Amino acid sequence: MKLLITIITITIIALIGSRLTFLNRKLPLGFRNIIFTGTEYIFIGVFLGKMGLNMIDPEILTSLEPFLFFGLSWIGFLFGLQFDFKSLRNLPRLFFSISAIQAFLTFLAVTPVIFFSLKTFSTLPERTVLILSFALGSASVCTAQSALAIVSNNYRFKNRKLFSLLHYIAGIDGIFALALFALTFFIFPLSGNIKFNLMHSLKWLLLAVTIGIITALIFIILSRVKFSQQEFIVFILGTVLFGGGLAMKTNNSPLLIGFICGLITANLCRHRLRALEMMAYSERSIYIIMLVIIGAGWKLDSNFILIITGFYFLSRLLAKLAGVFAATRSFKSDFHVPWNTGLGLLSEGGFAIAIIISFSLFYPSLSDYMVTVVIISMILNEFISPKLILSLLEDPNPIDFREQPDITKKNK
Amino acid sequence: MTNRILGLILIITTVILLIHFDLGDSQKKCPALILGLILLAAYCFGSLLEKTGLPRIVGYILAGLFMGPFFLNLYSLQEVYSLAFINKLALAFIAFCAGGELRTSNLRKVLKSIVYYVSGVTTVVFIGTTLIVFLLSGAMPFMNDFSLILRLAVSAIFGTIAVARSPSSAIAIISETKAKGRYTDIVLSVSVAMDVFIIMLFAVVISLVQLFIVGKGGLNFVLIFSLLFQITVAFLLGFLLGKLIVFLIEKIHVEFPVVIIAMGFIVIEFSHLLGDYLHRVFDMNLELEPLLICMAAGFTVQNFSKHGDNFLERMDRISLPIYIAFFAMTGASINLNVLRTGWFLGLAVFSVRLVSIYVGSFISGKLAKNKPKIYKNVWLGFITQAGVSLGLLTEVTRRFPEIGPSVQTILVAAIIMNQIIGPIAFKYGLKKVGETHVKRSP
Repeated sequence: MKLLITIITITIIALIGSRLTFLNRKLPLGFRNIIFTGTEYIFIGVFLGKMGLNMIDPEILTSLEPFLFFGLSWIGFLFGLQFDFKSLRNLPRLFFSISAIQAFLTFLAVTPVIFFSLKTFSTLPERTVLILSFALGSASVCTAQSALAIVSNNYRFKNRKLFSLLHYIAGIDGIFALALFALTFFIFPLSGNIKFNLMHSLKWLLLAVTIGIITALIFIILSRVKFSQQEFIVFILGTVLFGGGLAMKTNNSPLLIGFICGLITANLCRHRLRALEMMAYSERSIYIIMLVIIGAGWKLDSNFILIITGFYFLSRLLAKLAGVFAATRSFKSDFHVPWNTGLGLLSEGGFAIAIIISFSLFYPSLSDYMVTVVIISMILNEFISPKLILSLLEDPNPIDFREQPDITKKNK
Repeated sequence: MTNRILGLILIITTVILLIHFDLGDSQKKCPALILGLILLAAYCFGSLLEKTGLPRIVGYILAGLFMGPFFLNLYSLQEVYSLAFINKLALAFIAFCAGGELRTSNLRKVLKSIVYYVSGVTTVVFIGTTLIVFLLSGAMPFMNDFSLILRLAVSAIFGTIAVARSPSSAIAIISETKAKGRYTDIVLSVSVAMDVFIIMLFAVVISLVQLFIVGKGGLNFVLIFSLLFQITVAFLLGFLLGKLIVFLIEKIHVEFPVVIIAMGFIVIEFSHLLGDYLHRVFDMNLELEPLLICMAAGFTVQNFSKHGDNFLERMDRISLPIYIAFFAMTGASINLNVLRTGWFLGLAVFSVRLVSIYVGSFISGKLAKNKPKIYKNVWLGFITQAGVSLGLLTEVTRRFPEIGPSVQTILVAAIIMNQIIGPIAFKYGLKKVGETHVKRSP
């Protein structure tokens, strides 16, 4: 009965959510960042989960595990599909270099801060501390586009190039986050308390890459001949499920395998855009369900983790600031880049959530720490991000939607 | 064709290597992997089989069987059973589609035929199968010690199950062949109507058989009344659900195929839970027929709103993966041990049913004054059998544990044959009457 009620509830949430989320509602800016950017589903999850009604209890969460593998595989595949090298080559190299430098500097700054703060304030064993530091370091790299979207949808401003740079970084730095996240799994094997073993780790990596390649090949081969829209749905669903399932079976990250599959598909399959369009259409519902699940699984029972969250938030803020500063000073740009441009990259949704869910699947005992740190930091960042982005842009003016011509009337 | 073969080889080899080299956690159950494997491999197999003129769904069933424990052993029966919820989702989806395909405008045209076929085919198949099984009862070891009247009673169970059809297979073939026309309408409507009718017939027969086997009871009017009540409530609930779907389409513009599948799942779970609750608390065997609810909902959307065609079109867009998963899992759950044990008697039941269906539909078609093209071929659409029959069999086993397993072995063998032959025959019939690949009106 409980499972039934849970399914009904999650369905209703996804049903309403897929219509409301990310819409441009007339709400005060700070409130708008939380409501309708996706963050609210974490709270809904918290309300339904073990800190609230306990409707989504650990048993139900376990039965939802295959969905998480599927969802992560979907997100990874979709993310990988965006990286087609032909299009990427047309973008300025400067943008890529700035993205890479800020990403690695953020990781290099946040990871030791988390390590030392955990060593100081917690009694966790050293291996656990190292795993958490690496995982949080990689999650800290991610920048979400939600705050940028809110600003661009509601304000007019002059320096479009700076905005493009921020948008580009937010779009691409997930790739570095994922690489660093994979590094965590590479260094700290997933099965039990095994010590680092290069051969074991290489086998794990080789398996992930092989599965990614195979699933991509399957997709490419199947879509080589003429097919209907219905068949295309089968290819996508089948590939994502197959990749996610293989990840589950081999103790691998579905996010990583999905990404490799998407990356290869993006560059070898001529139906990339069609796949991208179809997958993006359902991404919202998957994302909402994942946010609810992650909220439901969250439990705050260690006070020290709030201190760690504070360190995480501050170190990430400073690291982004310093990272972009260092990167933009190393490469000359043809437009003005303020010294504090890094403040425009604080929003931390989407891919960071995917990373913490992926992490939770393999380190369930550490998931509460990871979720607490990232969720609180994410909420704080969602609150301040639009204001900080606006402070970077020249002459931002709110768009008066009443001024806009009525397109529907014109068309009539 | 080469691409499909290559794809199939790649998919299956990957899983074989994974198992052979023990690359994964062998204890870990991975429903996503099985579902992905089934979707991709069964799709390839179905497409390849289509080139030979056979229906894709036979390919899906065979692929599921081929990858299962009796051949490649890529998954166990337990693993397939763990995906039962996918079956439920698929069944709900198919029931919505079946209801949606029934347009009152078309039904009015074939109403007379439906009445003749339902009554005629039911009578001939029930009597024919019962009689032949009764004559063969000497060859069935479990009936050796039975009196003649008891043999007749058990034969009536065979007769009842033989009447059941599979609307899901019919709708899948219609969707695959884009069929439309009088023949299609008759086969689908009769299959759906039989789904309701069989429940009533089953109730009557079971209560009579109970009298002879257990030695108590009689014509159980309470059971019959409660079944009638269930059907009425199911229709009413279906109507309300249909209205809710119309509301969702009109007011919220939801991605409704996904929501509708979820609703179907909820209906199925709710019906089972309600049944369990009534049984536990009030000792009442009252379980709302969830597929009837979903069919009635689809029927309501089609006939009591202006969104019928839009509803079907959007459901059709996502139908392929659902059909693949459903039929491949049907194939995967075929227990070949049962077929090995009961194939001979199963074949006898299968043959009798086939002949009875032919005779019944021929006579009914003539009486209904259908065109010869229809009444000579309509029997081809009535062979398919699946879920409902298996559900009724489970009930037989539950009520009569002393004969249930033996009856089940023979009938499951016959149902497996119907599952494979039925879709092939229906596709052939559709082609013969020229109703495949008809462009649907907008």
